[in-house]
Amino acid sequence: MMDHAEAKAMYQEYLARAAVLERHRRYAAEVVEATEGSGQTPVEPLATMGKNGGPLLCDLCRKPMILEGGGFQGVKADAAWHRNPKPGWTSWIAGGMVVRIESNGTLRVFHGYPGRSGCVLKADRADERDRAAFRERTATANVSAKLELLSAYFKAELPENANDDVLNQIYRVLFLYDPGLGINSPD
Amino acid sequence: MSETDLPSWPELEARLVAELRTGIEQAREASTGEPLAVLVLWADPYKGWYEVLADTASRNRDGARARNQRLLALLPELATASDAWKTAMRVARQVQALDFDPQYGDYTFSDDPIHTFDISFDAFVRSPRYAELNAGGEDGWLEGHVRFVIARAIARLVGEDAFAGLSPDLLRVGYAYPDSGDAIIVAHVEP
Repeated sequence: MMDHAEAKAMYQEYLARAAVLERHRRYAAEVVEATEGSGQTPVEPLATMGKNGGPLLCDLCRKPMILEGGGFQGVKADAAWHRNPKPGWTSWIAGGMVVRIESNGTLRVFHGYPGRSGCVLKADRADERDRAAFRERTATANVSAKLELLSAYFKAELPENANDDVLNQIYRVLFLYDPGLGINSPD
Repeated sequence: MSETDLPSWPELEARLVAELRTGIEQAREASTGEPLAVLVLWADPYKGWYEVLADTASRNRDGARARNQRLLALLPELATASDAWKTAMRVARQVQALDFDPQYGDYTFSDDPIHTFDISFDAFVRSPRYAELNAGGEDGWLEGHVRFVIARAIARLVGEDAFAGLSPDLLRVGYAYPDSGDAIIVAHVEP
């Protein structure tokens, strides 16, 4: 009889990672909603939705967004909000800004314009390199065998999990490329 | 320096000259023997982040060709909006064909810059004094001042022949700001 030790360990790891991811995914969705809009960007979330209520930081250079126009040209979002905490205030962003959901559902914020300039250009290149390295590293990994172990474990001990949906979620969390949680955080 | 002291432009110029000298030296060391077409100081004065980038002549020629073709293909789309005439002058300048590729993000040495350094005026930019000064310009007060300082630093290095030997052909030297994907060329250095 199988003891399912390896499958149990995988499942526990999945549960731990999924719990963390779930918090970060909710946070990412909140930030995306708070900052969305065409043209100008709301300043308040840029200044206050980062770690410990601080500014959102660029995932590459780890610095706040910088405003453009008006009397706040070149001023970082948190400093600008400190001077002018006016609800609903929107501003252009110097050098552009990207708010994006990563493949694992977590938040990424960058200075720049995708494909053109700024931190996002460097980040995208680094991401391509990291993903290529991951593909190379895992090319020979037998993921099917691991999923079969999990499937057998579920059938034997957790029948409510013995379905494709759960296995697919585990596959996505444990075996696909993990881009990490990003620099900004709901904590 | 207290947070309300104005930046010293001569000091900044001296620092930029020194850092650019380091960048030029490292460009020489990084050279694979291919001629360079352009060397650019990427500058974000608000973040205090600077990088020296460069492009080889062959990569830059290919990049210029691709850029010119891309912009030419874009022209019909840019011209069809009903109010396109209002920005036609700026758009025409932006999409004009160039004999070099100004898009520093594509440069040979842009993934890993040749040289990076920090010069931060963050405390000053956050001060009330900066808020008083920072009104009415195309750039912010800091960025506008730093443009001229960078240009002076580059001109000084050109005058000192500091770029000698980097390329047997014409070398363009300039800088780039984050507000545009294109570099601004300050000087042409003849071999």
